[in-house]
Parts: sequence; structure tokens; C-alpha cells
Amino acid sequence: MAWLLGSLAYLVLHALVYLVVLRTRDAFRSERGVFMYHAASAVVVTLAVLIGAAQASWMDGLAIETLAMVVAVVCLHGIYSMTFLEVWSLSQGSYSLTILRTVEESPPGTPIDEATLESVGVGKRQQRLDGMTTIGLAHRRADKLELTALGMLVASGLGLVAWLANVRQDA
Amino acid sequence: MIEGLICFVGVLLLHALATRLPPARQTVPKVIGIGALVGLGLVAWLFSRYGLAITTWAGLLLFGLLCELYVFCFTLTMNSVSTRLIILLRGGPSSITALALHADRDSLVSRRVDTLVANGFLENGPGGPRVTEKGRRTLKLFGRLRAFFRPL
Repeated sequence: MAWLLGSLAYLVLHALVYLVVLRTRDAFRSERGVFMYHAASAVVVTLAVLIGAAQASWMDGLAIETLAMVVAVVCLHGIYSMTFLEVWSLSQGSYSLTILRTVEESPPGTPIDEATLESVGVGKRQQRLDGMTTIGLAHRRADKLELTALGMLVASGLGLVAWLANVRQDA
Repeated sequence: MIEGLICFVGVLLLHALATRLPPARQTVPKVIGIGALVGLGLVAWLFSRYGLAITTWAGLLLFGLLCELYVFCFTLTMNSVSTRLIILLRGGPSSITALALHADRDSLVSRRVDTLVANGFLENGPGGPRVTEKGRRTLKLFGRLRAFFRPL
């Protein structure tokens, strides 16, 4: 339990450091910066708990409590980071939010300026297609995009999730 | 811990069933309801069996993480055009033009407006859509988050 309580204290400190100090620094106001802040912490904490578990197992043999400790600490960090990053990404806004804001700021009874809003969506199109090749999910062959092995794995996983949640993939 | 995993699989299966039953378009509320009920059952089981031991917390945290990951992934498939394009590519290579058209179609303002109306953020009015009270509260919340985090 000491490891779990220690991890909890560490995560509270990790969050406070960001909220009080790092939040105003440019390096930590970007998506990459915030993500790296959490990813690096997750790697360090996971390594630390694995080393602790290895030491405990060396002395007393592998016990279910040691395995439970590793799972608990890693999952706690996972929940903390995922929640934090999801809340942070909400602050970036979205296309739907842009539409909502546009409607709210327009005089009552005004039709939506679809042309201007469409250009925002279309502008992101190339970013999306480039993003897939940059992170290794797809590669280009002539004028076609094809999934890599990693991309196929990710796509299959997401496809399964979409099927479970009955999310329609309209053509 | 195995109990946490079993309960998570139970949530997946129950949610798969619930999303195919009315009411429609309540995917997130349904998973929250199911997850909360199953989670309460898991809490009761683990505490009765292991007390306050680390095994209890490991089971609960594993269940919590897996549920959160599931919600994140399916909201991604609902809202992210990039994710939908990746899923589309499972069918085989596709021309850049076809993918771009698909992305543009998903970005269509009218399509987004329809979704916002269906989810209660906008309502149709004479002359055009209006933001509902729910939409205003949402804008206010996101505005506060943006002012707090000041993302680049």
C-alpha cells in the first residue's frame, strides 16, 4: 500500500507543478509539451515500480500482492494522465465548438455562414492525411494511401471498438 | 485483478447490447450508467473478499482504466475524422482524392449542425439555428478551460 499512497502523492505533486508553474510556459502549452510531460512521468513511474517489484520478488519470491502493486500504480498513473489530457484537449476547442460559437455570436435569425466554416474544415484535410503518414499508420504509394502493419492493427482495434459501441461509419 | 478484467468485459458486452436498443444516440450516458452499476458491484465484491488490501485497489484501478480507455476510443471513432479515415482504409488502399472527399464530407457544416441539433446544443429556429441553454453552458465551460490552460 505504501507504493500506491506514494504514487498518489507524487501524482498530486505532478499536477500541482503543471497547474502552478508550467501552465504558463510556452513549451507546456502545446499539445506535444503536455503529452511529453505525462508520457515521461509514466515511463519513470512504471520503471520505478517494476524495479521495486523485482527487488521485492528477489527477496521474498513473486507474490500476487507484488503483481497487484505494479498493476495498481501503473493504472493509477494511466487514469490520471488520460483524464488530464482529455480535459486539456477540451480547452483546444473543436470544429463543432467553432460552429456553436459562430451561431452564438451571429445576430438572431441569421443563417450560418457555411462557406467560411467549410474552409476551416477543408483546411484541416491535408493535415489529417499527412498526419497519418508522419506517425507511421499509413504510407503513400503513387496517389494512394495504404495502411502499414501498425496502421492495420490500430484500425482493427478502433473498428472493433466502433462496432461494440454501435458507432456508424457512414459512407 | 481478474475480477476487474471480467467486469470490464461485462461492461463491453452490455454496452454493445444497450447501444442497439432505444433510445438512440445516447452512447456515452449508456456506458456511464452501465459502468457505474458494474463498478459498484465490483467494489462490493472486492471489498468483501479482500478488504482494503492492494489486490482490491488493483482490481478497481484496472477496471477504471480500461473503461476510460474504451470511452476515449469510441468517442474518437465518433468525433475524429482522422480516425474514421483510418478505419476506412482497412478495406484496402484508397486514392488521396477519395479520402479527401470523405474527410470533406465529414467536415460538412450541415452535417455537424445536424449532429449538434440531435445532441441538444442547437435548435432549429426561424431564419437559422440557435444555441440552446445546454450549448451556452458548454461554450462557457470550454471558454473557461481555454482561459485556464491557454493552449498554443
